[in-house]
Amino acid sequence: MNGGLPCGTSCPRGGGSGFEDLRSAPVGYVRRVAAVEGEVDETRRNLLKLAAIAGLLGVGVGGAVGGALQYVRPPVVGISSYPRTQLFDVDGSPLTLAKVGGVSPTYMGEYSVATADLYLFNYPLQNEPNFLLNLYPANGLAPSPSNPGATNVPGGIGDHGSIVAYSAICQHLGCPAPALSFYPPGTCPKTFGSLSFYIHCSCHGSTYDVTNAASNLTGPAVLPLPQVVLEADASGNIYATGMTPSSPPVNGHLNTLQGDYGVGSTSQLAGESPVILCDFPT
Amino acid sequence: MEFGRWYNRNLNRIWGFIEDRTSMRRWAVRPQPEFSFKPSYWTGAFVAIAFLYQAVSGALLLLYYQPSTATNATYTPCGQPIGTLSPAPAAWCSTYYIIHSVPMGSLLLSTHLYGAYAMIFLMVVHLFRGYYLGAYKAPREFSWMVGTLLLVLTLGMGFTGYLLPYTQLSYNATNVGLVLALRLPTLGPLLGPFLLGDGTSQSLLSRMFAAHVLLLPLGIAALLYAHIALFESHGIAPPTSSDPLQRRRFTDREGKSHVPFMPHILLYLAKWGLLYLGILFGMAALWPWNLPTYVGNLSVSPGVTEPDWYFLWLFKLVDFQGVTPVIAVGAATAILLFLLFVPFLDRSKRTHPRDRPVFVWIGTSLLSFFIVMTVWGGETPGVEIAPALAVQTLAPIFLVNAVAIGLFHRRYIRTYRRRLAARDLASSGSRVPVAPRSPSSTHPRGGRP
Repeated sequence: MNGGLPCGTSCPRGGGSGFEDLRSAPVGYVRRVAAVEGEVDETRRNLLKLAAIAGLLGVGVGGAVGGALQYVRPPVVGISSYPRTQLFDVDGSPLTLAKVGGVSPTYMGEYSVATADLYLFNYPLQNEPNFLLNLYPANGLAPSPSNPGATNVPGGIGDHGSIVAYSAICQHLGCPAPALSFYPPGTCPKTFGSLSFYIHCSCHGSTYDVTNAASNLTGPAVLPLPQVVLEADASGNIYATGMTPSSPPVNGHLNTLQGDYGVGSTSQLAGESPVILCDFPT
Repeated sequence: MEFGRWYNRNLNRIWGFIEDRTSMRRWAVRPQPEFSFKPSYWTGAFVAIAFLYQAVSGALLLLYYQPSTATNATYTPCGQPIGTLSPAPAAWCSTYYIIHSVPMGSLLLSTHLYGAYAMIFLMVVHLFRGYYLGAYKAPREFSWMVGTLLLVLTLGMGFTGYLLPYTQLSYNATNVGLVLALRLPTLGPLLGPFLLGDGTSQSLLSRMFAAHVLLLPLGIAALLYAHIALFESHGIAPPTSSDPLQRRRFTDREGKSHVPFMPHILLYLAKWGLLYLGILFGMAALWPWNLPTYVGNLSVSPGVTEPDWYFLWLFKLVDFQGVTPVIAVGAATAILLFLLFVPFLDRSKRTHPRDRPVFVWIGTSLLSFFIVMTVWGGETPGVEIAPALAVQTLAPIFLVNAVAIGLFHRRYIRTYRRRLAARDLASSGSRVPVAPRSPSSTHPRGGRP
């Protein structure tokens, strides 16, 4: 009992052992010493504690929420510029003006709904399908001054300026081909003036004028279909090189170049698909 | 006799052993009054039964379903010719596999689909039953709000589940819903990356899958727990009455004759649950679901794109000329907010529908609006509607309801006054009452005409 702890130089008051003194002191002595050295404001201390805890919690929760928000937003995949992409037929041979345009007089003229095929190709991203159409002579008659057919449509290439490509995703609410479908002449009884061929969407009934940069014939869509810029080289091979400046973004994408992997700059298969039966409400 | 006693004693010992260690009796839902054992008091339990079946059947479907858009031209479990130009994605193939190769797969998948329809239908019944009988009134406001959120999550389950078989139809309909959201100003670009991920079809499918099998069910389970816990603390809503002050209280007899959960309520619910399963399996066996063609198959027309029936009204709304995504989503949000906050809009203490003509009018109009739009959407999906025709068709709903409810209410007030006058006459003896004492005390809505 007497010994206590050796105190040495760290003893609070002079020599001897301070611990002995404390032990014999009345209960509460230590607290009173603290109180003498400076009043502690319990309210303020609690407030500070609360602030510290709230701050820590805030940082922790905020960090977790921020991290989670970042986690669910992966980097958007996409490409930085439009590739120059050559189009190929399903059998692997290059798609040429002669092939698309050459067959067209009879191709379009004989459009029997059961056998006719449409070309579809993805560009510039893998989930952005486009129609490749030859509109010459789209009304099935040879062009003449009174019957110009669909020659030299805006952006058209080939001898008659009649080969065009439009996005196959509806600009209203994003229904893709074949819900959005090209109806060749004779497929549908509905006509717009003398125009008997158009792109029509079975989702909400939007119709697009293929002879006029896919502008709207009927709503509810208010934007035209994006149009692909086509080019042909000296031997007639067809290339997709971009979208026309007046094209809106492909629907479902905030930007035509973002939202999937690019199709690559070398080649793209143009798939064929049968013409879909008329879905236009009469 | 001897055996019976032995059996009972041992059963009690086993049960006692378990009960001592778990207090399982206290887990049970509290006893309910005898009068409540009619189906109309248990519409919520039917929804819960439907949800339980969805969880079980969904977990079983998960054993085979593959949430992948990958196509494999050499391995075609869906019986598709090898080397087809546009091979089917794995999500569709695995669905095809469940239907055509897994024993009972077709039955299970069909019951999961029809069970979803049933759950949403029962939910709508539960909602409108509570709406008409004023079940959202104090003290059950939070119960109602949690229930509304449950409806939202369940519709979310419907939306996300629709994409999973990865058919052309479901893909297109999902696109429509997503583009509706993406076309919203400022909100659209903000929400886009969360809905679409990196923009690939796989990313979208993964998100829909995760939401459908885990995130939304977790939310539903949590909210359902809260919904049932609130039900537990309030007890079942007593019947409505024309008590001019508030909901009728239980009579003494009703209040005392409560039925315990074990085994009465459990057996009662089991009875309805079995009936539900019987109808569900019967329908699935008679009319198994046919899987439409897959995403990317360009050779077959998807037909007219349309969502399931519970979204048809919104789909038709988008057909209206001049209805932009902002208007369509805005209208849906407004209806939702109305439902969510109706306990704080309808402040009167009366619960009987005839004492709440305005809210009955709103509810009936909404219900008729949904029915008309759904039928219209089913008859002419994707046909553009001119504004004049839309007004001609929809305005009568609100007008006819208003007139009918108004006339009924006038008649009700007159009868009420006459009865009150007759009572006054009887009680006042020879004195002839000149007129009702004051408009406020004779009006059945207590001075708030």
